[in-house]
Amino acid sequence: MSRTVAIVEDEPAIRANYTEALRRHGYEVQPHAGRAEAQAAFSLRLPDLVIIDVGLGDEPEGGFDLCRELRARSATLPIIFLTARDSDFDVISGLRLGADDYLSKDTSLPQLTARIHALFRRMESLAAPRAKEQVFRLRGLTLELERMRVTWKDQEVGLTVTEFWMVHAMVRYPGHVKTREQLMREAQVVVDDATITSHVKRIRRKFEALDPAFDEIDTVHGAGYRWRA
Amino acid sequence: MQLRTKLLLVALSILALPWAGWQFVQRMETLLRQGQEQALLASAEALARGIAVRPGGLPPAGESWYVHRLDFAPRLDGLADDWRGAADAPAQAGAPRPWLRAVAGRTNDRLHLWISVDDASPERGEAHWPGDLEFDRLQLSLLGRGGELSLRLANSGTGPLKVAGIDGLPPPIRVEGFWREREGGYDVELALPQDYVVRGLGLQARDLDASGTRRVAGLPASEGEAARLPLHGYVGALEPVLLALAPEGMRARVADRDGWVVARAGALRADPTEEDILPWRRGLYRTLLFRDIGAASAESPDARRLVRAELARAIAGEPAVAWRRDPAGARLLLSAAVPLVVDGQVRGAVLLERSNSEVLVLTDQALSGLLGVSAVAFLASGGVILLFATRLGQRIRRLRDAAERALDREGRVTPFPRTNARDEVGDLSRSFARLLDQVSAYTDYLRTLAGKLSHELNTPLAIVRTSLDNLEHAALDAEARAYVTRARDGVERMGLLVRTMSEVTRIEHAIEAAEAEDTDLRALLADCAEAYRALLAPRELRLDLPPGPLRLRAAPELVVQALDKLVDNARGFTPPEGWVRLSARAEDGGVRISLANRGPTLPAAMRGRLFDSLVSLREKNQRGEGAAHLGFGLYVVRLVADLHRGRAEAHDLASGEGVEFTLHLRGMP
Repeated sequence: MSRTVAIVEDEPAIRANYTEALRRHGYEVQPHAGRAEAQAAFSLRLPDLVIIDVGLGDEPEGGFDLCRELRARSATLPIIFLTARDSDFDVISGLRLGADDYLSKDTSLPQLTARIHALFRRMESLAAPRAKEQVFRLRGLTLELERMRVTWKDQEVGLTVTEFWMVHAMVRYPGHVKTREQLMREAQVVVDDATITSHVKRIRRKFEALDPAFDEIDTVHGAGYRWRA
Repeated sequence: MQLRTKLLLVALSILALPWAGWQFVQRMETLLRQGQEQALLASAEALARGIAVRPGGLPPAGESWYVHRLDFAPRLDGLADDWRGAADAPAQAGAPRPWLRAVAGRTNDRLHLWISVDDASPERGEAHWPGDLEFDRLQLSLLGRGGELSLRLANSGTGPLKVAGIDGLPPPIRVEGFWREREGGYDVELALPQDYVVRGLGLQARDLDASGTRRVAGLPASEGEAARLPLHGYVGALEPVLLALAPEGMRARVADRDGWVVARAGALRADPTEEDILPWRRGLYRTLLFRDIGAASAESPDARRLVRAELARAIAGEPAVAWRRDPAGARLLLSAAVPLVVDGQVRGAVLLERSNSEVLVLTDQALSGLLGVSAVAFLASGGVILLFATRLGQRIRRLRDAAERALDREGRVTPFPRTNARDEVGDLSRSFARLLDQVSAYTDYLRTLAGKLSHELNTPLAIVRTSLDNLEHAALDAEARAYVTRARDGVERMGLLVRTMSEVTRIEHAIEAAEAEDTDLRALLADCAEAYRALLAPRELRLDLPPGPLRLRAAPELVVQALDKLVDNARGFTPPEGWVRLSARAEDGGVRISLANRGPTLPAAMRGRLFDSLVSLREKNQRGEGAAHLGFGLYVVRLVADLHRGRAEAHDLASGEGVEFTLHLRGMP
């Protein structure tokens, strides 16, 4: 049975492109042009994954409201935000909407589908019994690759898919400096340096929220970041 | 010229005030003088009436001889030089030109006569020659105590006067005299006996020329041999009357109809103006106030004869006044002449004179008051205008200062102070404020334009990009694939451009969210330098850092971003064989980071605008190198410097071989 992906996007051309691309990958796609239409469809049946544009028609932040409602109905439903504005990243994280990832619209279709695959894999691995799992452990950190799950001192850190991949890139070779380009490649995202910086900052903050003494990520100015060995 | 000076110049118009005052003073002085004229005329008329009551000593109504009062008896020598001026204006007779002149004088009741005859053709004879002989001679007709008496006077040459009766016989009285021949005529000087009182006197000259023609001239002019005129002279008895009647401080004189003074009394009051009025004021009055009065009083107080226009009019029967300057002082002299009428006949004239000292003193006081008031008014209004002008100048200066400060060093609009003043300066300041608001709005619009534009471009870009992504999976031939690849290239470049455009917005967001941390800038710069060294190759990177740490509260990521921009900028302008120097040192209150590079110097026109948004120095061919240079790089540097309460500067190196960009960072609050 193919999985259902709902796309809420007010721009018809983009919506059509996403729809066709995802269908090509074998997903069943439900395209919605607006919040009301999406809500009506979701009240009948929840899809397996939702891609939401932040600005919907006349509502500049209609996507946020939709996300809140969905999260209220299902704690596990994967949600991906698409935004035209880089600054929305900060709003999304600030609002703690519980989105599983957020991407700017420059993200290419392969990058988008990679995230969708990852999210479905995580869901599957969470549902499946704990099998032989590739796990990194380093001091208080535990990183389960299949489940895309990170814990710090036995507390789960709510990282998005992009953030998880960045942490994974650094943790794989502790002590090695990962340049911004490397992090970008690992996280399958094309953004500028400043956005990488703010991603790293947000990752730090998520750890610090659990443990104020957290200081595992080093900034190497002019070069990149590294996880302390 | 300053506004204040200009207003002060305008204030000079107050000087019209003293001018108007002066006009007033002049008018007042004229009125006072008219009043004095009236008063003096009235006094003179009263005086004339008082004298006319006792007409005894007054000159007769008709023609008469004026007998001068002589202090000393003149020598009988035919010369008039010892008559002390009395012979200056003799009685005259003869036609067509007067050729007979005679003067009468009296000393100690003795009557003197000086007679001068112009005669170019002497036909002399002796007095005692027979009466029917014709020769040059004088005939004197006297009405004396003993009745009428006629004498014949004739000499054949200079010498003691020969006198005979009209019949040629010796005269009944002894007449002393002298006959003096002179060029063109002869003079006779004679004296009658002391006890001989003369009541009437007639004189006739008979002149014979060489052809035997006779001409006759007489005083009086009547032909008759016995024609005589009564005599009158100075009347000492009138002096007490005049003294009693003339007001004090005035000079009164009585003149006969020829202007001969027959009585005088009184003297002008001494001139008080010499002491009471300042010399410069006296000069002022003389030159300005008495401009219309030209004539100065030239005659001496004890002149024998008065020759004056007002006197002539008085003798013609009409009272008259005249003003004259006192040659001795600043004051004027006013004289009033009225006819002396007895029984309807003009017997002479009374001349009363006074000075205008009192009026002048009054005028002077008025002028002093005027000058004082004017000075006070001038100072007061000048002060008020000065204050006003100073205040106005201050307000305009404040406005100017505010206008100059309206745009800060980075070209941003600072709040403009609005005043509530309802005048034009207030209007101006409000207009300025409105204008600056508009400039500010426009500047803000321009600054955010790139960000907004990039945001709006993102969606269509996403459409193209996702469409191309989908196209990858379509069944395309090789030719179409090549086009897709090219389209993708174009989209990527466009995406890069859009990201560059939105960079400022992103940096601004980053700055808003920036958190200060204690940073060792030395370590940070050393880290960065390693990365830059590779980036700048083959250019040489020189590092000049202090040995110790440089601690500052800063946002390290943003400082690095600013440095990235500076390094990128330096790379664009440094030739491959050139060098770039990164240096830092502590300075007062912060840290100074400099990046110098070899390369072209800054164009003067761009200096000061380098750190503005949308300003790029790169030439067109430099821009094509993949990366887009929209002029945001140095603007980002400025934003970061501002965040650290510092500033960014750019200047040419002293050696002229390159430029240096400097960041002065003060630390975040």
